[in-house]
Amino acid sequence: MPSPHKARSLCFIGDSQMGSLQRAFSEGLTSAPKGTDVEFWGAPGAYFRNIHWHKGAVRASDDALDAVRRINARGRDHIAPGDFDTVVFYGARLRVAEFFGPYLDWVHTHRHLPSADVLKTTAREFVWETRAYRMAHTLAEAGTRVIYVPGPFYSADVLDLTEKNRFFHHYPGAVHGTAPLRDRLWRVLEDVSADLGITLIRQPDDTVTGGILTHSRYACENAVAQGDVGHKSAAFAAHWMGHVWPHVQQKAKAA
Amino acid sequence: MTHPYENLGPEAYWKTAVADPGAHGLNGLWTPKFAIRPKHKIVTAGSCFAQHIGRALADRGYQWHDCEPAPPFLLGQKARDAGYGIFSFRTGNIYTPAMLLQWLQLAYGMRDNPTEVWERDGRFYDPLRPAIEQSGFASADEVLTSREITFGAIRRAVEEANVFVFTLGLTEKWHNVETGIEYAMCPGTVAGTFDETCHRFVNANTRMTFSALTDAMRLLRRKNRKLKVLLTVSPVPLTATASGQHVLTATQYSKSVLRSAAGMVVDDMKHVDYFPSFEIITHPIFRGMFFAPNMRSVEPEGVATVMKHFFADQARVFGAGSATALTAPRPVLAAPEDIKCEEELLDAFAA
Repeated sequence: MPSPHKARSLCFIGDSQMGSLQRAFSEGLTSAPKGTDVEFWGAPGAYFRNIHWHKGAVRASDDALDAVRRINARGRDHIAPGDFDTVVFYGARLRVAEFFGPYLDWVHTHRHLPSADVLKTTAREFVWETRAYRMAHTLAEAGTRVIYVPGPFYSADVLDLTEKNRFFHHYPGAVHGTAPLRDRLWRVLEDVSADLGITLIRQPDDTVTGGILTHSRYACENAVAQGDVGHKSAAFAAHWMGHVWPHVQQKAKAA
Repeated sequence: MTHPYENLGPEAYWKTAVADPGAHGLNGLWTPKFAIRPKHKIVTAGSCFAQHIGRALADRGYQWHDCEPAPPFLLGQKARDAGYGIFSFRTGNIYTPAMLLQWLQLAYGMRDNPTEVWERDGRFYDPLRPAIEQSGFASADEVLTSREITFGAIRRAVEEANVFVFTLGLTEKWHNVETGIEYAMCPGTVAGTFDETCHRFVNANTRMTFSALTDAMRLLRRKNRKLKVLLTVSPVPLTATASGQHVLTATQYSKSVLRSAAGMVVDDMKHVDYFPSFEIITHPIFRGMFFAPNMRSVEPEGVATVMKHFFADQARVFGAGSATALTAPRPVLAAPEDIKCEEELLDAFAA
């Protein structure tokens, strides 16, 4: 078992979205602030449900344990408060498209956002539905610095998202999303997160197109062939991390 | 020699219609003017009791038309606390016909949108619906913006609905003598500050109530030629009266006026009907059994009895309609990345 604490240590906890981040590191597209020891920990989506807060730590069980051991080179099967200076939840099942889609559609119908109080209540309901988010909050409450990088918007030009049962079929008005509206929705997610001790980092708006999609240039390799609208490229991860690192450094200084 | 009473049916005689069958054997209380089918979009507004009707219709598979649904992720009691899912639009209770007319006129830009906003402890309240946002709005602008959303919802409700159910609740009301705006509640109760120089009490009589109700019904019809209206009178007594009368007699007066005005409008307008939920709950034949011990709140059994008569009389006149399945909730989005997520992540770390 590795020693629990390292100076300026950072752990990414994530699901399959973390693959693009790992590639960004290995391809040299991004790097942690100098002197930061980085670990990865997590499991793909199907196994992520077997990651829980249990006995004072984030733990993997059953089939998630195998996945975690393949991802974490140091063999950690759990992450407890104090194990790292900073924990960044990456993707980690928080799919912001599921907040933005219905909301942008609602706003398209009603022309305005609801009141700030209602918006904040709903944002809290949304983040709280995600178990990983609740784990992040528990870690934060226990004193760990927590940053959350949510799952990105779906990639444009990969699938026809207006087809039945696809995204725009459910939320046709979302295509009319604008930068100011997205900004307002990000702000409320950031505010709610801040109240819960979590720094949420928004998807850079220069990666967004079509109201609520990620530019196709950031789609993962073979996205069209595989119909994969979810995963992104290493360049995308590096770009987003460019907005995350200042917070990591800021937190390190604060510590 | 014959006379008009000679060939009347048993429903016309107290003995055969009421005394013999007793409270639980009554039938044919209502002969509806038009059919209300599960396929029809039904809008509900008005006093508290309209909430029961909307919910009961939805429970039976009827299409209760929610034109101002709660924003995403605002569910259950939290949505109701914020005034969503109670009526077809987020007006809160519309107690008087004049208030209904006022909302309709405002929604259609037929009168100026009042800019009066009540402030308390740095929070802002809408005088037209002061209880709608429990902690108040963040700013006066937000009050007016939120009201715009409701105006849009009212227009959609009026123009898309097949049936508009309106429950008349009160005759007592407060208004601003300068702007003419009618308030939902007396200023100073939930929010605002009472000012006797500009806040005036009015207890609408039958003539005033009939006039406002007629104008509201005409406006509804102008905006939707196919719209049918079903009026009911709330059986819920007044919480308090400012009339100077005892609250019991004030209640009786208020309900009598509302019932009379509703009857007069129904006599005048083919597209407007009246359903006797008020009589079912309050008539002495039921010995007050549908009221809670405070003799004000209506128990669920009362609502169930009201709706039993509603459906039975619709079936008696128009035949039984089969309820459609409730509208399916929106499916939860599939997570496309999960399909390939295992390969995506493990490939990256295998490299």
